Amino acid sequence: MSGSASEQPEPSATAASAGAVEPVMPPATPAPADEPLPRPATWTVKPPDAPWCPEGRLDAILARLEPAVAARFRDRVAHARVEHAEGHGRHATSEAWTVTAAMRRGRRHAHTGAWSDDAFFASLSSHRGVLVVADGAGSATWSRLGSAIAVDVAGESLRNATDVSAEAMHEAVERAVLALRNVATALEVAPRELRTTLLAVAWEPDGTRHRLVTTQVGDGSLVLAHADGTINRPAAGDGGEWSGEVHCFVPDDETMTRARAATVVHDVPDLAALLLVTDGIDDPCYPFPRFAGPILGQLLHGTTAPLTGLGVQVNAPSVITAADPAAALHAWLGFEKRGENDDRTLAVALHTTASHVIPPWAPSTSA
Amino acid sequence: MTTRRLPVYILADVSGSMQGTPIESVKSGIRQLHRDLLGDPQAIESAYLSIITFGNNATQMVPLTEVAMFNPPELTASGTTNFGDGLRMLLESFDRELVRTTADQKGDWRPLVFVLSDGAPTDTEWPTYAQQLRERRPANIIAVACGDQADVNVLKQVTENVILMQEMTPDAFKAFFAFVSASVKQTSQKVGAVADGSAITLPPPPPGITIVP
Repeated sequence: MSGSASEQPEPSATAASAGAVEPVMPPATPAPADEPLPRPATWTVKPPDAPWCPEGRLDAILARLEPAVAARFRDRVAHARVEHAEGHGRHATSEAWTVTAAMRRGRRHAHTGAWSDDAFFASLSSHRGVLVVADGAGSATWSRLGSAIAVDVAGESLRNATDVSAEAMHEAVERAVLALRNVATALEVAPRELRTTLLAVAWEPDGTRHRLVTTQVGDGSLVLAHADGTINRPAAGDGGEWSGEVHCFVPDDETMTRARAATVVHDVPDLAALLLVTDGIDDPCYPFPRFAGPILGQLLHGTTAPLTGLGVQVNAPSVITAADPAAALHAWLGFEKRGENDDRTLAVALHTTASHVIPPWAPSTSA
Repeated sequence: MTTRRLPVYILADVSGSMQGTPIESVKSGIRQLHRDLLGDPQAIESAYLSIITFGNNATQMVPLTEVAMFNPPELTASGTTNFGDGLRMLLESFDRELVRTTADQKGDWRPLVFVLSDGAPTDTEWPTYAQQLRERRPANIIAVACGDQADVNVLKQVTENVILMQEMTPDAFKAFFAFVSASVKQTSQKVGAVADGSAITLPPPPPGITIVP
């Protein structure tokens, strides 16, 4: 912990005077080579110290959002300590579907007392489901507001759209872009300071089939699982030669070009599950389509052995049949893998057939 | 799946003109950087350090090594300033040590390189390698011109990020390595969002060090 680290000699504080303490060393060598090294630091957890929404700017933000969006944003600000610090989850069921979503603050942000930059939206009725996840860019000052507003605006737009179509998806993304630009104006910052990724799906039953629309701007993964076990990832994530380099975020100028190119309407006869993740899950589980089946197996049937690639995982019963599935998913998101300390968000929709067609995951099943 | 690394390369001039206080200051600066990074769990898990020196020839004194296993090298200064061989060794180390993203594997983070030089190159090959580094942008490079003999225009051909350390005092080197440490910590904190390679933001340089426009 940080306390044990501070018991060691303070390297920076004593470095300047070390030459005087050990006269044999010339003054040009402030930190003698044989001085014992500090013990490597370990992770700590701190609550966020800054306000989630900048103080004194709330009224300006509310004035620039549509009234319904503004009302929900006001609620979100009031509950930020609960929903955007350690994380939270949602769970809903309908006759044919179950949706569960959770966000967990990463160890990096917990250690420095920063807010999570991730956000999600989940809604389910008898005739439509909507899932949206977003990851605010770490380099953007107000990206946590960007991801939160983007999932809300795009999610509500899809929930209220007259149909599940490419046009409905384009409108949802476009509304998110406009909302983020308006908030940037209210904060007197460039729109890039609200940059966020956005992954969204809306689906409806159509007889025995399902009609879906999906899109993606930035990194992360969105996949469909079919009854025969095949996994379909409709849009490739935005990435390059090196890790973590995204070319386009919401609300950049190219957002709509990217979103239109990535929007796919599906007519699926055997839809079993939908899975959306931010890069906090997508990066350790790369390439994601290979991990999607095993992850769904763990969520449905329980974790009996750590999944290769996810580092240290705690055994646990099924997330979906737990008394509190949202809390169980939040716990599942706590796997520990070296170097993978980003915020993690996962949203899953499971058809009633899923537990029959998706098998449990066991180590003999190759990931 | 292996750990994704933030590779950090220090390319240090160890020509004869660095003898005495400058080389001792670089050595203690590297030790200070190492101690500093041991205090940051994200750096312990993801930052990997390599030290390459150039005098008459270039040598990779320490291959890319995780913070917890790193041993600061013994450095001695002598000979000419074979800057070209240093840049060649840097490019060769990239090819040998770095993992790029493929269909099956997530790559490392884009490497962070700090170049220190107090003089002008004595070789003729350096412009070829400088051009490769500038055009292919395989790394985020920060070059520091140490003292008034360093050729800022040479460093400008390697990277647009050139800073000037006016006086080669122990305090100036110490401040520079504190800046290196802050840059590594900041980059490893914000790795989720470095867009388009060239656009990294660095901490403000310390007093006594100025950014060359």
